[in-house]
Amino acid sequence: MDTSSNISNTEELPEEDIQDPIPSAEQEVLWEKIDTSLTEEKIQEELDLLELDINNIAHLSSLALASNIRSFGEKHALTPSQKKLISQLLRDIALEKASPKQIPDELQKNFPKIKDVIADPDFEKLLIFKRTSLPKEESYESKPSVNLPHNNLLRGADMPHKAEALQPITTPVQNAQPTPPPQENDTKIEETKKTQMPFMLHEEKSSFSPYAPLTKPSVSFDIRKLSPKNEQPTRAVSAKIESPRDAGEKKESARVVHYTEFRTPLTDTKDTN
Amino acid sequence: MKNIYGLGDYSTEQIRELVKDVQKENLDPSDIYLRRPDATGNPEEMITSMPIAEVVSIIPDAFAGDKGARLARFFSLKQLEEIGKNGDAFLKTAIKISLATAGENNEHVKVLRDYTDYSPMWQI
Repeated sequence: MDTSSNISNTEELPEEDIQDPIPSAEQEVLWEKIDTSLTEEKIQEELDLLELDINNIAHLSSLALASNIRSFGEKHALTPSQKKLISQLLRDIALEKASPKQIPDELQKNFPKIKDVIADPDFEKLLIFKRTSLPKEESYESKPSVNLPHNNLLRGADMPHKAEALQPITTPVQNAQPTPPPQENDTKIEETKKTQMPFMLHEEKSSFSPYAPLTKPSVSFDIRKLSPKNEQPTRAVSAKIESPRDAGEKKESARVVHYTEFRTPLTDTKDTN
Repeated sequence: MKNIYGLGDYSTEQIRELVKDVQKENLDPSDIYLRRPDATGNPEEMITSMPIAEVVSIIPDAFAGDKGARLARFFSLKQLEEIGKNGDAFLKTAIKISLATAGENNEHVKVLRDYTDYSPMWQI
């Protein structure tokens, strides 16, 4: 196997150098076990836990907390599975799937002396969990709203003079399809629902056309449009720059030379064939 | 799900072949070993000496089979705590499976199991 080539230069590697993974039977068995025991729900839970504050995660994963749960379980002569249920309850509280005040039925069934367990002040201490990260929506909503003029931009539905605000966006773009007259445009905008955001999506068609005839440049970069010096149409520029003093046939050949400046070597090779 | 791991699915022997090629180029294979400690000459030592921050990059395939189960017992509690904090669900599950099959009489394994059994971050 030759990996002498740079990783980014994978094109140069012969196909036979790329090995397919051949997992061992033991790996297959392991992944089967993982796939069996790891449900979609659990994977989602893990992702939800990532939304917690780093201090919350540190607390939940701490050795001290696991040790406290184990000690508490031993104090009440709980079985390992009952101790795991307490740990699971705390996880559910962190995920806001359970409340410390509402002990799930599953847990009550597993605790014959549930009242003794709940009455233990250590149990309450164990389940204290202060979630320090708020859901995104809640954090935004809880912020006091300040009545600034630019706030209206965020509330598209309530924004006054929406049609006027949209007007500059409809400025005609070069090479784009001809825009409708202003009056027609206004009526279209007024027809838009109030719930829509005050933005209009405009699809800019690329001037790149791989199937363009060979008499035209295959690539027409927008650089020409952006540069105030080169705002003339593509054809005129190519003829003018390359052979301003030439006439007739020479002009034609000069134009071809000019096009090649903007072509990739690949295109150039194709054209010569 | 397996495809999220770049060096996953490859057998230990394949990873060793890869390491040879990397070494031929005078490149450091330690990044590969950190992900696949099973490919090192002394995987147990690799786990024991692995920096805390790096343990989360271990690929679950490293814990496959009897050898993998042996590897899990070489973790320290601090390393497992880091995996509990920042490791992904697949790695945690692989370690739990390995620990479950590890020797019953090993005191250190019992300590590790106590942590993974009762830590809320390991309830997967």
